[in-house]
Amino acid sequence: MQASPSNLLVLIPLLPLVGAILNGVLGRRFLKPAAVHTIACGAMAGAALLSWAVFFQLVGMEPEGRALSQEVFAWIRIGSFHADYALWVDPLSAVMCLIITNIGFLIHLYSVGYMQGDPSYYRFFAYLNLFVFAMLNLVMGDNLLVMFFGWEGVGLCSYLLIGFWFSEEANAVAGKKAFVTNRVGDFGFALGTMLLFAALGTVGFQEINHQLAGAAPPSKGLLEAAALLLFLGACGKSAQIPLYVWLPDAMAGPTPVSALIHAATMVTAGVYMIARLNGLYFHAELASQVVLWIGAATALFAATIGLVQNDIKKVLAYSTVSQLGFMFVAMGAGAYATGMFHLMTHAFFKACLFLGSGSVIMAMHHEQDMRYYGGLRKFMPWTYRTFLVATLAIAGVPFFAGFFSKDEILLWALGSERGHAGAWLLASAAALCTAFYMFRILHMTFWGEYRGLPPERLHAHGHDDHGGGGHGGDGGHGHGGGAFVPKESPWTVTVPLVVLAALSAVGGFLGLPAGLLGHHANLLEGWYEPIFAHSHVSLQHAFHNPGAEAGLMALSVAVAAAGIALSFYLYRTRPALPGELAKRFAVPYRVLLQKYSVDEAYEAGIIRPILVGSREVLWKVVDVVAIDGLVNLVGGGLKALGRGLGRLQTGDAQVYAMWMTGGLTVAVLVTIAIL
Amino acid sequence: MTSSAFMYLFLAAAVAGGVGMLALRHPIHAAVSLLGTMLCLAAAYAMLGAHLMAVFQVIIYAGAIMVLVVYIIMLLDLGSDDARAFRSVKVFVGIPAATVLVSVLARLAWHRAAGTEPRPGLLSSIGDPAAAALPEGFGTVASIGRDLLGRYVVPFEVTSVLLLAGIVGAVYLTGRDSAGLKAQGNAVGEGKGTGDGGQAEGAPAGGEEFAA
Amino acid sequence: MIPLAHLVFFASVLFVLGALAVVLRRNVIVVLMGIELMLNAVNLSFIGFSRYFADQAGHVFVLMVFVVAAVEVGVGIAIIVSLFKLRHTVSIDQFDQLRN
Repeated sequence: MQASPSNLLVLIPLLPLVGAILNGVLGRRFLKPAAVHTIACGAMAGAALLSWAVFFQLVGMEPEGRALSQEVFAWIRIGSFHADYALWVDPLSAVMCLIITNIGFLIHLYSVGYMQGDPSYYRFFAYLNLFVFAMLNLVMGDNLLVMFFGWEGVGLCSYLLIGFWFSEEANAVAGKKAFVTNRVGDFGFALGTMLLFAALGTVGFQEINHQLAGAAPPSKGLLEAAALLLFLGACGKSAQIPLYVWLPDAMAGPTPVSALIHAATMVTAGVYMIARLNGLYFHAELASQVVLWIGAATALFAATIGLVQNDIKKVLAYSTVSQLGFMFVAMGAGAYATGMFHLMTHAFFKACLFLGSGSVIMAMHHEQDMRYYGGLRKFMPWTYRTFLVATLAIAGVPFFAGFFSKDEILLWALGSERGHAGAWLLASAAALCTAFYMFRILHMTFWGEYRGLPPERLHAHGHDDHGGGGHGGDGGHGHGGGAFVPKESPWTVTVPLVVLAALSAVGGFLGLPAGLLGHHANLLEGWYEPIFAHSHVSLQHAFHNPGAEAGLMALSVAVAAAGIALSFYLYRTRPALPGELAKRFAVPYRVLLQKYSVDEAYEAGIIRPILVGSREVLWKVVDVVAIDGLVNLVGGGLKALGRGLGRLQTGDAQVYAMWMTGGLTVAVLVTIAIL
Repeated sequence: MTSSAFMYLFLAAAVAGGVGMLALRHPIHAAVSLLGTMLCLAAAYAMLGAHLMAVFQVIIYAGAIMVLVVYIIMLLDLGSDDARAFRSVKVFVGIPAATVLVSVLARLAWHRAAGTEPRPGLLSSIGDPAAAALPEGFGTVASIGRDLLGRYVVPFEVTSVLLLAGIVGAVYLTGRDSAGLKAQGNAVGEGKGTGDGGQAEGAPAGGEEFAA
Repeated sequence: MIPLAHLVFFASVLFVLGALAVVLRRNVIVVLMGIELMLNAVNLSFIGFSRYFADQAGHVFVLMVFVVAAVEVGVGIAIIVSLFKLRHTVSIDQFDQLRN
């Protein structure tokens, strides 16, 4: 695909970078909070406007040549290896840019209310802007190295923001866990990049997809390996089995961070990467199967954990993991456009859910345990309404955003040439769980009777969650200590909620099912057409009639309805039943509550052996005895030699002259001997 | 033949003077010994057709330089070196190195003069030239003067800069005290400066003043 | 006329003697005289080659060496006088400021 040059592109990531630098450097000393958030939100608004400008420029172009590019500077050029810092915006990255900058802007706005009074206000916005910069590099990069730069950048910002309130050890530990887990994935990403270069001689996306368009490539084994390694990177970043463990812990960060980084944007990087490299994954069938099954397994696995969690953010976190699994199912099934569709709708409703939960958490004095909520509907009408809309969207209730995208994924999981009934079953079960646990949140948080916080928890949470910062009266925390009434959040919080809820409600109409309403109904698929043109996986023959799709759709509606009905039965009709069930099925309940003890298994199976091995073998034997010994030997030897030679430097010029004379004699002798 | 004999005689005497300079403990004795060497060398120069150089050797070296050295020895009132003069590790490197060097060179010179080769090698291709016939006026003031102000005028002028630098350096190094003393209104402060260690310690300030 | 090789041999012997004086003697003034002797040895070989090749360039070069020797002695003696003022000795093993 030929791209038109554009000088606008670099400004999109540059604005947040400038914001980050300004706030990071000057924020502490010179900027008032108002200035800090004006800079940060202004940078985001500018980036969002530019993204829209670029988007409309793309819309106005011919579909075949719909791409803009800018070579900002030559970065690495070694022999045939070229990796410039170049940006590339085509329909795929344009949508990502829109999501990142617009949702990013809303979340920045939300943070103004949420982070008010935090002593490190400037630091928060600097990190947030820096994150947006890195994320934009990730999606706009023209080659794998720029993407990797962004990939590492978002990882860094994620680490910084998870541990934002680092004075509490748990937060710092969670940040470290996210960072270390991501290292494993990033290692795979780096190896995959190198392998891809070895196989194709380039790291540029356009060259890669161009080389792989059409006939099957020569070195298929290498490509499969590269695809698998890159998917390992995606597993780390997008929290898939086996590297998902960091994401639930990442909820230790401020809630806007959870919404922006750990729901809407960063965690979808893996999905985007696969879509970007669709040519590679199209040919790497084995890797695609792995993606499909890992995605399906993760979807169900995380959803089951989400069933029993009591921490509202934990439930949403597992939900995110599960939804990401759905996206990978689509990727594995070859439905790249569908996966990107779900990525977008998920960004809408999950950001809305997280921000809604943040609003609730703020109102509830930073208590995150849903058992102390209940009946908040009447206290926080706007939060409730938006949360409800987003919940309907994620649960798959017809005509909300999540319905169309999830339905499409389920169709492809079963009907694609690469699909499998097993994967479809797993995903459907996950959809059932999703509907259930999302309505469980509604029941426990917004409906029923207000249970309220016991005084000791109120006190405990009043102070430490903000790292000792004195947050003001905004957001409804009365510091009275006794009974308090949850209050609706300020407009900076509710406006983003409303916008996101609206998007969650209508966003699905961008991708109406093509099978039922004709090919032109699916705007997104047409939009992505030039990107995925050479990576076309088709549906099996049996699924080519509208009846099959309609039937599947009805089935998934039934599944969602079943989940919702179950939640009503358990939490409305027979509220005592969940407790009884937990007692009756103590073992499975415990397993779920303990999150299948994966963390403990990792601890015992991987971390402990490495720790012990490092301490007992690497440190005490290899390092102390072998390496230190060698170093000391060399050092000691040189020291002795130096001491010996130092004796030669007597300061007596005559001795120097003496050695010169001796040397001259030797030189003469040698000369005579040779000549 | 006689001229050859005299040549050897002068050269041997020069070497003897050098040995004397090396071996005699008292600096005055060493200086006088070196003076002998220089005079012998002047004679050798004359026999080699370098009459002007012979004259310069006597005037500049024997006349000026050695007189300066002797004058300083006397000025500083130096006595004999003590017995430690040669008792040093330097002797154990210096003397053997010198012996080896001299013996190797002697063997080489002997073979070369005799026209035989210790062994065939690169050196043999140079050959030992017979003395060339001298052109008219070789080594006279006129011809050397023409060369100095003709072909070699640039090195000649650069040499004068070197001389100037030497003069300035010498004045700077020795004149620091007198400059400082002049500031105190004492024009003849040399003896005082020599005796006064503290004055010498404080010299840099005076030196700067002088340089300014 | 003696062979050139013999002349060069005497010159090198003189040079070695001068070098030995520089290396072995403790008296700075004698060291200075050793340097002069080395210069003289070089001069001798210059004059010798000049004679044997009938080329006056050697004479010119000797003249240069005279200048260098004169300057060197002038500055050298000045240094010695300064050092003597400072330390009241001309013994070279007292001057080990080059250490460190």
